[in-house]
Amino acid sequence: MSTIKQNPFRVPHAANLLDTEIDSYWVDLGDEGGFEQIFRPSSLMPMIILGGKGSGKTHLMRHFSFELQKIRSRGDIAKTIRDEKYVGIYLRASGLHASRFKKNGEHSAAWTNLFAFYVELWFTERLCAVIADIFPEDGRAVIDSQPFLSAVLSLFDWNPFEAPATWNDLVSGIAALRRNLDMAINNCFTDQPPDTRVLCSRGSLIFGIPKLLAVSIPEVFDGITFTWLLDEYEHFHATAQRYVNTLIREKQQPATFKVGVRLWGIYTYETFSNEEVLKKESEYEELQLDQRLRSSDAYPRFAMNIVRRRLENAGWQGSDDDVHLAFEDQQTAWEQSLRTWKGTEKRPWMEKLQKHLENHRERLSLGIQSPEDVVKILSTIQVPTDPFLEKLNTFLLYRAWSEKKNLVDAALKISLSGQLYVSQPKGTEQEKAALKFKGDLLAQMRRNLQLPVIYTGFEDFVQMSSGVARSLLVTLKKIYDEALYSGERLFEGKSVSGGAQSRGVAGASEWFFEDVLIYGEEGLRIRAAIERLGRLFRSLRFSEKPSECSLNSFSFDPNSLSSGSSRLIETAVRWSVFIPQKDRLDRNSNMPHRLFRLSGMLCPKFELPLSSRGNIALSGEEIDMLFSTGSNGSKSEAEKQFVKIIDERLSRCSPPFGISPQPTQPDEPNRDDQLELFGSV
Amino acid sequence: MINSNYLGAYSRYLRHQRDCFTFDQLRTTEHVYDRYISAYTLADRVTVLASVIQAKQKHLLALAEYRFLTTELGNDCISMPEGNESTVIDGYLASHPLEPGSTIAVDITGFLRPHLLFLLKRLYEFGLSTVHLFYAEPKAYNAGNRTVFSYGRIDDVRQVAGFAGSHTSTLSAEMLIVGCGYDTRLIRAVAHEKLRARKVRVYPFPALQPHMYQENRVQVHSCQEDFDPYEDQFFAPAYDPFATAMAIERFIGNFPGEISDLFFSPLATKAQVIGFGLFYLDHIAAFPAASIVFPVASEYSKGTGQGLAEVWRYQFKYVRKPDSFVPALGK
Repeated sequence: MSTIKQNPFRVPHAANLLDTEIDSYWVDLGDEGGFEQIFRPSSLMPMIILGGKGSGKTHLMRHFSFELQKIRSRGDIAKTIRDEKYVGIYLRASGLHASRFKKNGEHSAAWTNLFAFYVELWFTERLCAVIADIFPEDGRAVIDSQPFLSAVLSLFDWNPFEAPATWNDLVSGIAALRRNLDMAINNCFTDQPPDTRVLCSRGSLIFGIPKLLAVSIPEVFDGITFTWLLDEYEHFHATAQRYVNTLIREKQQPATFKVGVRLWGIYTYETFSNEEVLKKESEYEELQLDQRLRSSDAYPRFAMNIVRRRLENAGWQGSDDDVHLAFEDQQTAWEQSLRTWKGTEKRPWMEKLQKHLENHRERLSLGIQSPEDVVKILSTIQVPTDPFLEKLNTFLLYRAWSEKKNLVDAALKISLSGQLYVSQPKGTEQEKAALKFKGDLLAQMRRNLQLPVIYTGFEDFVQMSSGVARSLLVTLKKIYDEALYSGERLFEGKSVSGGAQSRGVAGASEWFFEDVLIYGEEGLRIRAAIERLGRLFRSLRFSEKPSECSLNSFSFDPNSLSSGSSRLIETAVRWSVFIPQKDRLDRNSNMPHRLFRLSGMLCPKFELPLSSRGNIALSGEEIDMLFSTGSNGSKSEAEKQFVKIIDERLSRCSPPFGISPQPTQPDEPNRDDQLELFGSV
Repeated sequence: MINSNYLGAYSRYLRHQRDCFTFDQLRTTEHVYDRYISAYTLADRVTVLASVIQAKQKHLLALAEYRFLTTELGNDCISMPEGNESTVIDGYLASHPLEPGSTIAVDITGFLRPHLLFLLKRLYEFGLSTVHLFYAEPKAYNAGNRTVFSYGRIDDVRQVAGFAGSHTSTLSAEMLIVGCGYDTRLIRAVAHEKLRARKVRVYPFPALQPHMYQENRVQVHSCQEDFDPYEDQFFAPAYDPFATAMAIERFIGNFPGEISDLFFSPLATKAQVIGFGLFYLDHIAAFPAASIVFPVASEYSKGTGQGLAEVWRYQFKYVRKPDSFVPALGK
């Protein structure tokens, strides 16, 4: 029996988790020495941890924070610090409300100075709290000593307050300083900064106090790295980042920085230090977290461990097999059910083919002399006992049509080959087509039968998540909710139904789309591009003769791209919506092309395959059109332009093949594929 | 969970007064204010209200974010420069100072939320006893739950001028209370900004019109992932700032000493914005770790409502200088 009382995949934001939950949900990466080897918390080399939203940056950084060190220490925190050789001081940039300091004009430098002072106080307040936590109330002689407190105070350029009697007084004094600064800033409604004296120099406290601790209390801090863990760095605007970049550049032992930031969140690498730029490898190292996870063979194992840890914390005990069973792949079962389908009614794909043949004005050129020939073609390729084979046959017939062959003859050949396919599939046209297009044709069949495209199976969900653990958790959470809503009992030895899995996946895909892009003009443009690309891929996938199998990728000649589109594509990569693939040679031009795949999380929204095989080459002009929006973000004009592109490409994959249809209007719902164009399915 | 003692407590917000009028009733009112201030939009409810309220001076502020064409502006309109709400409102008040003791009518309907909050702060300092706020209800929104209220970029989620508190740098117990309107882009943006906070939704209920509650829920459901766990919610009337302030007061009263940092983001009706602002101004002295945050979009729709429903008038009845006491705060 399942002992799970509530959805175990809830609270997917690590930021929302309690310290104890961060600890209990922690899962290490199984390869390369785990995350400790990757993160190297005691290394003095600063690190910028880049990752898409939900890639695990916060969980990783909090795992290495003092609060988690304390949980791991089981009472003797000083020993843990000595063993681990670092103290992690975790801060979230969002908590500072840096936008208060963002002023243009003649006073901007004064505001930057004020920001610098605020940062000193803000960091110091956290460090002081951590130090207070290391030393219990009855063991504070060393930090309560007057020489030590005086030494800390002497790090200020001016005496900030009266000499504190205890460490607690010092902490209160610094907190009061910061609060007063807050009040002064918050009540300043002009560009003129408040009349506040900056009491310390750049880095004097942030680097000075760790140095002092190492010298004054060597029994705890000698050889210990003070690792500032600054998370959510994207919340600092460019000038604020420039200031922190300067601190990173000018870091002084024994302190260092690990900065967590979204892929798009670094606005500048400049510093105030001689106007120089922060240098990768020599002044900081970069960890691209989701890319690292995506490319790691250990990711599927890591993903499974995350899921099992969630389930175990919810009171469930089971194995990998149980997880696979719960989220079982239903595609194969559905495929099997087709083999025994006893439906006697005419299949939708046959009806559609009949309509196409009957309506085609140039039937004669295809060898169709009379209505009887149409009936003959249909009866030749139909296979009442095997709907999938029948679908393959229609695909092959459309292919023959696109090659302008005599369809009566072609139907006969297809039928003969089909008969062979049943007994000896190897080498038949059907086998070759199935090898490449099986997934797409099955998806078409489901759609023809007005069934949703299936997205099931734990492995598929891991693949969808593209290295972003939170995407996987949200997917499972949605599936869990859908299953409960349908009255299914989970983790009790049965699989979640295909319907609940697919609905959950669709919900997760919609969430990802809505969630990932909300900020800025670029966000609007990238959103438009995702929608258009998704619709283009979907139109092609569900066309009668898809040009590419498993289509969710596009390529382009980088030289053909405008600078604007080039920048937007890079941004889309940073937002994790386009996943870069290995560059390739274009089969037509033989020119090197850059290749990108649409994020797996977005594929279900557009009923696209998760696995990627085919791709379409887009011209620079087409890519420009992908991203174009009118003024105010309106898409109407750009939309019409893009519809033309879809029409043009679709004409090569749908009867009558290669003859461009009349231009379509967005509000014209007559054509079958028109539904595709406007995303109404 | 619920602090029953607190539920029984008297609330200061019961003192204030709200009245509901039809437009025809307002037309027959003979009261003449010294000044009428409104934020101009193309919505009938704003323009008609401006014509029926009598005042010696009428100032219809045309806020830059609405991107009005010159031909859209009437004679009473004052074009405001683009800028932070404090710059805009203080700029207006500097060029048109309020005379002590003067009676002021403010139509809050068309104001952008940050500007409305900052104006409220200035009026609060001026003394609210001679200020009447008006809020005109629409019969429906233009496109139901798909009505677009803001568009363009959302560049920043920031503290509203005059409503910025002093927050701790510790891993504190943050709470974010979001007034949930139709504009889920804004809701999502603010929820993303305050990832760590315990997020609470305030639904406008009763809504301005019965169907609006349904539309509102449908919209907000699309960002449920941002409010996980999804249970934290309470209700406050869409048209009543005082009941809104009281509902906030009571909700926070359920967490005595548990909140270290408090963030508000009133994204529903302007009447609720006033409720959030009033609560903030009444309590900030006792609890400085509180801010109102707002996701700033680059442009806003110039008129979203259809039809003229009722008009609410809000009067403030402070019997003494606002004090500050909420048991939950001050951890």
